[in-house]
Amino acid sequence: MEKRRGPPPCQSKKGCSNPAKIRKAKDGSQLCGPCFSKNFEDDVHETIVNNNLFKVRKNSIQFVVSFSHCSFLQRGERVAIGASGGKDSTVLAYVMKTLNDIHDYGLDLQLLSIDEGIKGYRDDSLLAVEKNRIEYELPLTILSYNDLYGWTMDDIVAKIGKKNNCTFCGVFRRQALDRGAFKIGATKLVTGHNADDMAETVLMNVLRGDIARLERCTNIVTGEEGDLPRAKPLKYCFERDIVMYARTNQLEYFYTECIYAPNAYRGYARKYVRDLEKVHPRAILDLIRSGEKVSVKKEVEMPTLKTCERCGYMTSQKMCKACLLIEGLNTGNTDLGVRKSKKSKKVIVEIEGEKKEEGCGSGGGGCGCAGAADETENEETRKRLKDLQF
Amino acid sequence: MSSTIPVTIDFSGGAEFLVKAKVQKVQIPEESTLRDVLKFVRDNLVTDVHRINMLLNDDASEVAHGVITLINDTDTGLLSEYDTVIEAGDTITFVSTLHGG
Repeated sequence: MEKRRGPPPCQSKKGCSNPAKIRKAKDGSQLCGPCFSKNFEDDVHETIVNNNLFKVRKNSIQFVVSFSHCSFLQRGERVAIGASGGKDSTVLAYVMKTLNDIHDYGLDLQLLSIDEGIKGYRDDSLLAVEKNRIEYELPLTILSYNDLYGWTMDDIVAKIGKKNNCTFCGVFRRQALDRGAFKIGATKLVTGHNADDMAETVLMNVLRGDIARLERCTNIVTGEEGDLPRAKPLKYCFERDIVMYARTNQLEYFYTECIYAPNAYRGYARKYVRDLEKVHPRAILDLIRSGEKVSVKKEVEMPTLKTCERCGYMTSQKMCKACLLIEGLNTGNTDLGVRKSKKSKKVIVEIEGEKKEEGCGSGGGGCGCAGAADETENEETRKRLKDLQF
Repeated sequence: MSSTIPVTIDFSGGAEFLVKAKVQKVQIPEESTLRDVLKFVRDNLVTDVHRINMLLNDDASEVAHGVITLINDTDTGLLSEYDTVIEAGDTITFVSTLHGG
């Protein structure tokens, strides 16, 4: 029988003599396990450096990371890592910890997880995060939708069905991560969004004609105008490479899809991007680049940032989306905040007329934003959120 | 009758939910290629037939996009892709890169 052709040697520049085991999806390079790992970490470090997430000074021996007031992350700063237990955030936590050690970023990294209250999904994935906490020796804080909003996702789906539930979950999680970061005293948040996610998001924003999101969705740093800037260090990492990195480093992660998932719209975008990638491997990077190149003319009216009149969270409307959704849940008007309608505007007008001592209506005594509506200054809001007892 | 060889097939990254067990030791015909293994998996191992498209394409000529195939931990893209000849004792791994998390 014909002998099988072996793999080519590792292409690493350092003259590695191992046979290659992995073909990196991002650029097709053929690498052995250790060289692939190193290459992946270097990529993330480069993303961090090139985008000025840190300020870097060149030293005669090696790169030394130094910090100035103009870089995104500062030495000694507490940075929350949004951790779901899935592959992306597991790899993000591991890589951030590794780079923090190797390059001496001097960051105080902490894991932050959100428990959406989905039995058989999130409760299991949180076990994976718990393992990360132990193995990476990073402190972990978990916040639940139930405590924050008085509703679990199981409750919400029982009430509204499986149609718009992803809207609720997405809006709630975004805000929950912010609140969690304030709670642990973090001033920055990093999330595990990867290149594939980002390419899909660009496409989805084009399809929806959402020009405001299209312009900012490829930014590596968002929310700088608010209290908690976020960064996506894995922005240029391909999903395939993230999986292979996790495998190479024997990282355990959780991989059941959400039981309520099929986020149908993203599902179609995802399939389309993957089909494109098949005929043109650069499709993902090209889509990201398209998003980066989009700039909206100054004369186009864009939403301006205000603070929610109920809870003080940032919003482009009078009331933030989370408060609007909660109002809908608590009053049985579950279309509220899900569909654009005159009705939701009417509700906002009515709510404006209410006395303002009521808080954000999140129930369960969890929100703690009662009486907050009069204070609209960002500083005040921030201080208040920090003092919250969850 | 042609003889068979023992191989191990490992389903990972979420692909294990489509089959009876994550790691399976099976006998496949001698001189099988990876392409033959895909058909073998479809015909003998996949139990969740409704979601088979998460692992294989319609005629099982290729894996679904986003599934990584390894032979003894080496990406089959570095061997002879689907024409790679399977040898006795090989471990063939399917890693799904499912969304989520």
